[in-house]
Amino acid sequence: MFRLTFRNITRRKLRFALTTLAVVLGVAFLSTSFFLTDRLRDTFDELATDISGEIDLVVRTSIDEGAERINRLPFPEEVLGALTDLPGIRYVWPSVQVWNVVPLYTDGDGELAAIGTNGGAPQFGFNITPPEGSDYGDATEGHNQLFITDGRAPLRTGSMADPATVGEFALDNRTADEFGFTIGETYTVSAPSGNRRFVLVGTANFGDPDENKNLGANMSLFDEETAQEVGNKVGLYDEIAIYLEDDADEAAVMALVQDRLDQATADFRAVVSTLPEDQQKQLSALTDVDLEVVTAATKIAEDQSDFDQFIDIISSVLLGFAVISVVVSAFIINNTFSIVIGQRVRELALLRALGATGRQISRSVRLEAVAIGVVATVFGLVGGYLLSTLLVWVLVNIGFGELPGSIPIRPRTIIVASAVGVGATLVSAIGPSRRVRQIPPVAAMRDDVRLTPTGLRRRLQVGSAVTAIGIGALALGMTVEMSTVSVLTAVGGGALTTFMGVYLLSPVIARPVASILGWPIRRLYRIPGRLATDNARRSPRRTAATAAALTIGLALVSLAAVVSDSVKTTFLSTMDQSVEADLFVYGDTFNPQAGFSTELGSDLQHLAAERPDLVKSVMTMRWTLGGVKIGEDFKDLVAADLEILDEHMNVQVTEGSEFGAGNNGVLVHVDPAGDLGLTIGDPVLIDFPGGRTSELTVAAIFEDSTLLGNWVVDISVFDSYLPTAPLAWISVLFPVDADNYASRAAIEVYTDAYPQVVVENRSEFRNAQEKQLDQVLSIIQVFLGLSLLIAVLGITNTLALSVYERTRELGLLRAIGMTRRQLRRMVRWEAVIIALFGGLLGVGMGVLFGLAAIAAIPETFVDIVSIPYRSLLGYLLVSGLFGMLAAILPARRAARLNILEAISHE
Amino acid sequence: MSTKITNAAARMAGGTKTYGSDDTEVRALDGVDVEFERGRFTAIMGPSGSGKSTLMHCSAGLDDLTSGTVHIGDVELGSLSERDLTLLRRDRIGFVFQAYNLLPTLTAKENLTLPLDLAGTKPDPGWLVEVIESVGIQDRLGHRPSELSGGQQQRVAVARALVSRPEIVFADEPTGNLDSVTGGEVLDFLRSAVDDLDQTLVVVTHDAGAAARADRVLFLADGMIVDELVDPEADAILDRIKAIGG
Repeated sequence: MFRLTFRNITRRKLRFALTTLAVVLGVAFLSTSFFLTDRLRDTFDELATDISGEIDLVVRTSIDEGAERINRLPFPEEVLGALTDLPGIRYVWPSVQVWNVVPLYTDGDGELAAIGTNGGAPQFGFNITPPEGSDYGDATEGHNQLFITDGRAPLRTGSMADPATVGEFALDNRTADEFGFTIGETYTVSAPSGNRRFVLVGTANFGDPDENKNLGANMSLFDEETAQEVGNKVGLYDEIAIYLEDDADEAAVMALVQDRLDQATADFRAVVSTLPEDQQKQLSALTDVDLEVVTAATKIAEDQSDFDQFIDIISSVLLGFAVISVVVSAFIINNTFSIVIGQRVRELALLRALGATGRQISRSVRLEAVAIGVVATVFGLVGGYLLSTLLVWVLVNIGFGELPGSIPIRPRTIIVASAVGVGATLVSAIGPSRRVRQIPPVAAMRDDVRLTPTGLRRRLQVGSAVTAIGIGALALGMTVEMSTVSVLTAVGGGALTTFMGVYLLSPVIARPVASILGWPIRRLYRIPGRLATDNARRSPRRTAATAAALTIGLALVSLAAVVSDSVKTTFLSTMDQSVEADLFVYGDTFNPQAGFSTELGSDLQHLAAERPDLVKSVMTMRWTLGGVKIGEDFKDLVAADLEILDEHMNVQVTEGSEFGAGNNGVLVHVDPAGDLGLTIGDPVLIDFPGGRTSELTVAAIFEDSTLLGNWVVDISVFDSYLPTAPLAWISVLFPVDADNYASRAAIEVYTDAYPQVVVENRSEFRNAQEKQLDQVLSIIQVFLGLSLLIAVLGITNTLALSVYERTRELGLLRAIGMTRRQLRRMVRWEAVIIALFGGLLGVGMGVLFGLAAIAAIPETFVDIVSIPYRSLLGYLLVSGLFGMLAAILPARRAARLNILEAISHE
Repeated sequence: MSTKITNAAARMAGGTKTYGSDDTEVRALDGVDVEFERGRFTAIMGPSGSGKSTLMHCSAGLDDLTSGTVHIGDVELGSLSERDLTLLRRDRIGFVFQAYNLLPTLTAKENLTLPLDLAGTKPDPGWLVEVIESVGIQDRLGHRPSELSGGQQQRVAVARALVSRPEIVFADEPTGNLDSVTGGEVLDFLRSAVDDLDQTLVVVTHDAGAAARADRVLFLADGMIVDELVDPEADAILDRIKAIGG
């Protein structure tokens, strides 16, 4: 039997290759998701290790478990003094870490430009030089894992509080190279404290003296005091790194350090408590915070898990698409096996007549499936490896910088890929392999034996029932009030069930639908069109199964299109209602930590005060993403000027008022207010980083969370807890009678000095948001489109098999005068009909699922249903086009048949 | 044979067809000169491998000669492009094969008019009616081939070969798959096509009874025409076949 299987494969190489290719793609996508994420994980794990380097212990402020660690607070630099004379410590290195330090340069057009943000990679400022006369370390040691390679380390030239001071800075080598920074030149560096002039005195590598391993981040280096100044962190450190003596007992030193930290905190609080009350309040951000010491291993693990969050997103997205691909290829394999076995009935019957048992024949079919699975897995793994290499290359070139290392080949990747590759193939072949058992030996002698699977009538009954259950579940999820999880279960399960039902039904409807679809083709191309329609109708099961692969892809694409279009419409329409401001100023980056100097905010506020004819009011905003704990969960918190908020944004306050909320009010969106049972006047406890809790009162409940999210406090409250958060957003309102151009020009005088921010009026802002949403959608569509590629292979495969099966017929047609062109046309339009059939089902189900999904998604995100008819029509056209594409090879093959051989074909 | 313009619907001159090369070379046709006159029924006979099918295929433009020429009417096939050859087959030649003559998805009538439909021309209604009547399947026109008997299928095939009023009709063992009664009916129909409808017919067969209905029988052996009978009797045909070792 094994030899027979082998013969079958070698004899029909093309068919084997096409079938295999479908699985190859599925396995390739699957293994790519592993290869690529392993690769990224390795790289970022290494980065996490590099960040900590030779450090043994780290001192820092504590933060609640589960909070975004990025919100960790700095602490007073006096803490350093408490550690210097401890036994076992080789030396200590205090570190100042500043976000949003953006060196500016003059670009090719002579315009002031900000260094690029490399797809959301952060822009940091660090200290590399200790203050003069300090007794810790020296600049040659590679502090903060930074190693000067050219020039020298930056030194202190004077207080940066004086705008006239020209300071010194260094840059990481990649940033300096990419944007053409030259040592000795003077540049403006835009930092949280404002824009200042600096001379570039050196360049450095990160992580390794010989190799810059900073993965796309931009790093500006200063001396300690300057770093504190540019980061609005005067007198503060973010961390103290401790390097131990070789023979030190780490645990003992840690205990000692923690003692000293607690003592220092207590001392500091005692000193502050003697100060006048207003100063105490000012310092509360520092006095309330606890300090902790952790091992470098702890910090590395934390950093790795932070990076993992981002890698996990990529991983699950890739994995999701890989699963879709595998499912699609399973359909194709199943269909191919069904067709091929149908064609081989005589041959198999002959084997039965010669004494092979039904079981043996069935096994030989499964063996062939395993062979396909194995070959496909091997090629799929190779393909996945190549694809990952390509993707890594893309990542490197869109600004990740060098990604040292290579793609790891883990046993897990190979095991899962093999299991899925062979498993999916084998499972797909089980049905057909069972059916061959029914072949009676007598079939060898007869001409007209057909394998008859379940009758269409039964299909109709079962399919209708399953579809009805699915649609019922969808309707249930859309109409009945229940918990989000139940709704998602009903909608998700309903969608899956509906798909299965429609799949069962599709052979029944394939005939009439093909007739309708073929109508214009018959009108246009007469006989070739007529025969194309007939051929598509001929074996409805085959047509349906072939189309199913396309249906899956198009259902997903259409679902995504309907949902995203509705989300977009909802978003834009609520934004139209909510934006009252005339201009927005914000950071031009995907980085959620991005922000800019408070100086720009105060500049614009001064402008408003001096020229009320041009600018009515300026509202500055900050926020923290996942930085505060309300109830049990960490939430995003937005801070705005509540006194003027309603002039700038209409968030649809339904109860209470934002006015006078001032120092202790909080605005809550209606959803969380409902979930937590909050009403006006209720107390809300907000835990800020560092274990400090603020008790606020619900001042207003609002309905529109598009711009501000769910929780809003006054900026004064926010500043007292998170003083070093950057300014994230500025909203500008012009007087009613102002000349908008003049007002904008006045604003841009200030914003021009900050090329890293964008200035947009209402319509520009709207367009930018729309464009961003569209970009996300098109990325999703491209990925989903990959599954359509596999579906195209499926159509090609079916057509090739059909052409082979109809060889004699094609020969006859050619003999009696069908031209090659007519023949190609016939095959091509058959493919188009099959593809359009799949497309119609897919788009139809996609829209249905989309509507259900919209009903299931909370109204905050989507309450306007918008169906993108044009895109949907486009998808249909594309599926038709894919049909044509799929037909190219089989049509050519059919046209080139030798007429005489074809006529005498068995 | 002469190369002058004759009353021939098709003719072959010096027709040679070889397969393979050098030592494995097979001569299927070896310098055949033959004319198929208009309005006549010619049968081609010969043992297996004698080249009779090759003679038909080459004469009908389904295959090309290694050397020599074939004319359909006054058109020389060797000079035609693949496309022109196809159009020529469609418009000027009719075909009947041993089996699988009909497309399973089309009705009898649709199969019948297929060459015209392929050409995009309207059938001449009078001729169409005449052909259909002569086939005798008026009541089965809307049926698909699977619903017709073998004899009916072959008659539809013959009618289809006639429908475009071709210059010449080639039939390759048209009764090979039929029982003798049904085969006889089909042969009668072929005969009447020549007599009543004034068609030109070339039939390859190894059935002496079938050949006996022809106006002329050509005998092939080893790729050459070795004998010929005009207005043959079945007995005479059998004698000749024995003589050439068929």
